[in-house]
Amino acid sequence: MSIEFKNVSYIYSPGSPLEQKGLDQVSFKIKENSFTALIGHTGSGKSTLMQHFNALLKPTEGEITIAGYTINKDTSNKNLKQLRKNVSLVFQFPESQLFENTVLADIAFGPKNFGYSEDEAKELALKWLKKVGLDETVAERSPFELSGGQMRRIAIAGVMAYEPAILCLDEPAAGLDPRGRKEMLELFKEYQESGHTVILVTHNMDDVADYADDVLVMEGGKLIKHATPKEVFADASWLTAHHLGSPTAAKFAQKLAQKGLQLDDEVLTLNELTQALKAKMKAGEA
Amino acid sequence: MVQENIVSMRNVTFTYREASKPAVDNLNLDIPKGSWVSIIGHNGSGKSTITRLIDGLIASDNLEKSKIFIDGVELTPETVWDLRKQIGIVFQNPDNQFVGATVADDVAFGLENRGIARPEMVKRVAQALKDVGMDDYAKTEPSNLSGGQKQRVAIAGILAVHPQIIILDEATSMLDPEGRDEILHIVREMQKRDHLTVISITHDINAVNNSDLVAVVDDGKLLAYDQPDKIFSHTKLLREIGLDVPFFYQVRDSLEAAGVSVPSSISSEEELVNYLCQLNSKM
Ligand SMILES: Nc1ncnc2c1ncn2[C@@H]1O[C@H](COP(=O)(O)OP(=O)(O)OP(=O)(O)O)[C@@H](O)[C@H]1O
Ligand SMILES: Nc1ncnc2c1ncn2[C@@H]1O[C@H](COP(=O)(O)OP(=O)(O)OP(=O)(O)O)[C@@H](O)[C@H]1O
Ligand SMILES: [Mg+2]
Ligand SMILES: [Mg+2]
Repeated sequence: MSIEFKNVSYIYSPGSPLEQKGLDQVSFKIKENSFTALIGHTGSGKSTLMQHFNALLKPTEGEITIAGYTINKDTSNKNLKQLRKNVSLVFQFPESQLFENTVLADIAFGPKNFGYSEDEAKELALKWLKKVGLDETVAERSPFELSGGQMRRIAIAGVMAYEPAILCLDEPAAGLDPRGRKEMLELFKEYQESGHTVILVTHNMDDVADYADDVLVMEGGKLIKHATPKEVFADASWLTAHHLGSPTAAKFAQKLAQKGLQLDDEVLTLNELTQALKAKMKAGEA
Repeated sequence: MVQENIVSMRNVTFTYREASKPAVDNLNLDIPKGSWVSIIGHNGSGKSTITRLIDGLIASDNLEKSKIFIDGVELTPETVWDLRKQIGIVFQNPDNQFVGATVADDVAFGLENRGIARPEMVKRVAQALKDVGMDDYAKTEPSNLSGGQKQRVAIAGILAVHPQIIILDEATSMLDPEGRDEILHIVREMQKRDHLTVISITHDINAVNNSDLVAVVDDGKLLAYDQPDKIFSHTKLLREIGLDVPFFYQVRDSLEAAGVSVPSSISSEEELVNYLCQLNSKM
């Protein structure tokens, strides 16, 4: 079963002087169990789109099918609980998602809300606390008395703890330290590989190259490209025209090319760059 | 000439209420006037706490032993109100920053606080919003902005004030790469023109690379404080505490691991590119 958006438009404060178009005729289909990266400039509509996956926002026009639900402007707010158990969102600013008195209670809230017993929820909370790289000593602390990166980890744990089938992450790695960012992205990848769908908003092109198998590019509320990372990053002039960057390894390969070393394959990751360079050097030796 | 320090921290220790150990632990840090200093360190290492101490939002544990000087004046309960006017902080989460009902009101807030006359205020608000590319949103409610737009407005609020010291706590973490470069460029222009000091907390290695000095913080202690190239040459230390090393070091190490040897004397991206090109053309 796939996730499908059919001509979805969304207008903020319609009819008021502050009316603002959030999404403009967006259509796409993504496969279940895929890892999709959602990229685009500041204000291009990424968070607006993300909030449609679990009907926090409902289309002004058009229709969405997801996890057995059909969402359109007439969808009522009742009976959405099951949808939100299956499709969950980690917000761009995680503090807005925290509210319990202790870290443990905060992470356990989701599992409890979706039917786990008190004990099960607590166990899950402890498990996910560790998985996001925090230790038990923070369990009884207030989530509001933590550092920015620690709060973000807790918001992520709170959603992953009830294992939604479709995990939507809005810039989850912003503010994480480099090791934390890597560990967290590996965690999302592992989650996808164990049979879930992951949708990730990011400004980091290396994350797109390293982890995603599908890319959606937004601009001014419109979907302007839907392709694989290889396809997106292959078209240098298209990227420049839309003010999008390339992965670091690709930029490095460009510098080599400018100085006369042309690699045989397009490279997007450190590993690909290493292999291509090695092939070049070995070919020279032979 | 003795270099003037705009910030001097002496034996500063700070422990949060009910915490078992200090978040900032006997820290000594001098920040030269007019410099751009990056603070790096893992999550929870004490970076934001250091900036709260500098801004006088929290006070160190033992005021007898610890001292903080801002532009030569000791930070005390009496001086804090005046000193804070010289400092502009952009907080890690912009939602904690907004007070105004509209974007323009919000940017004006810091100016009102500092008693800037109305005509000058209007001019500065317009200019700051233009600088960060948010002039079309002057009448919008801050809560109705996208994440990156919020960060731009939070930065405009500081730029409008022209403070002596600008503190950016992950202030561009939600911006796209091009937008981040643009904004940092604007801050840098203003810094140079007005000889301002910038203290920037960031995990973005390119931004760190462009600073004058880098402070590496670990568990509330200052582990290293030096120019970026010197800091980045300690690849082992950086990896141990979970921080990034510049990409060319990663390429060098990855090539070594794959059996392509690279001289360890190579210490910049340009050198590595040139070396690889030469190696290739000799073959
Ligand atoms: N609650 C709201 N009310 C009115 N307009 C809004 C609201 N939220 C977002 N917008 C506007 O809709 C557009 C898209 O915003 P959105 O938050 O989806 O962008 P984004 O791609 O997530 O950007 P960023 O990378 O900065 O987070 C922007 O122009 C924004 O100002
Ligand atoms: N308000 C608070 N009350 C109690 N403890 C706190 C509070 N804020 C932070 N801490 C703790 O103090 C330590 C340092 O936190 P700080 O926010 O300075 O870290 P940081 O380096 O800015 O981290 P990050 O990169 O995650 O933002 C952490 O262990 C954190 O849990
Ligand atoms: Mg957003
Ligand atoms: Mg912080």
